[in-house]
Amino acid sequence: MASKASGIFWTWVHSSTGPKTTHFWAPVCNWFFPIQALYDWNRDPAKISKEMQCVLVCYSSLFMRWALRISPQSYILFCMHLFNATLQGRLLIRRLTWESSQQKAIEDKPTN
Amino acid sequence: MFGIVPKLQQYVCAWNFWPAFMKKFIMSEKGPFTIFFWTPLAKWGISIANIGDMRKPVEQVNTLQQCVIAWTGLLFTRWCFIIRPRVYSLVLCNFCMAQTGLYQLYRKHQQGKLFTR
Repeated sequence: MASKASGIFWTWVHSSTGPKTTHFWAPVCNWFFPIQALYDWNRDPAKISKEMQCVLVCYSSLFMRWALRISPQSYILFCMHLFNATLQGRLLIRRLTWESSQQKAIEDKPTN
Repeated sequence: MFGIVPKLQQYVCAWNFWPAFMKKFIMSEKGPFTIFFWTPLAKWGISIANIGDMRKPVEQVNTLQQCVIAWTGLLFTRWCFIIRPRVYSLVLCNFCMAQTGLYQLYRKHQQGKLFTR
């Protein structure tokens, strides 16, 4: 039993799409995008790049559709891009809200 | 889901002034009315946004985000060489993404701000 279980594991390790190949690590490293957005949950809005966040939201939205249209469909990739689009979108909204409040502060400043 | 895009594709293709090669392009499996056309453009968008961010002060560059962009770009450059069929435009896209990420990190390193948030 133990040897059969370890056989399955080591078969996977040595397979052509296992952890010794780029086929495995390339999709795994895609998960670093939403992990980075989680790490930057409370990032100073002045240091968020609006353009980059817009691009990342569009990128993930398009790849969500792509993950369901390729053959075979990849639900893991779909989930990853769903998380990424949501979290990067949150950072974008954070930046836009800050810009709006800055603009309002300038407009409300009493002119001497 | 609602079938809007195929209907739009048929409508645009029916315009009389398109030459034959344009109609073939519009109706193709990887044409502008499919997702396979727009996803590589989105990836190019990351490189273009990074090039645009090069004129911004270094404090606004997100170290972790650039690390992720550079690492993903390098790994997918390698991945594009081992999949079949090879798509060299995708190789170039991922390579540029990695280069812009690495350059942003170099800018931060030059000013000694690589590890500041």
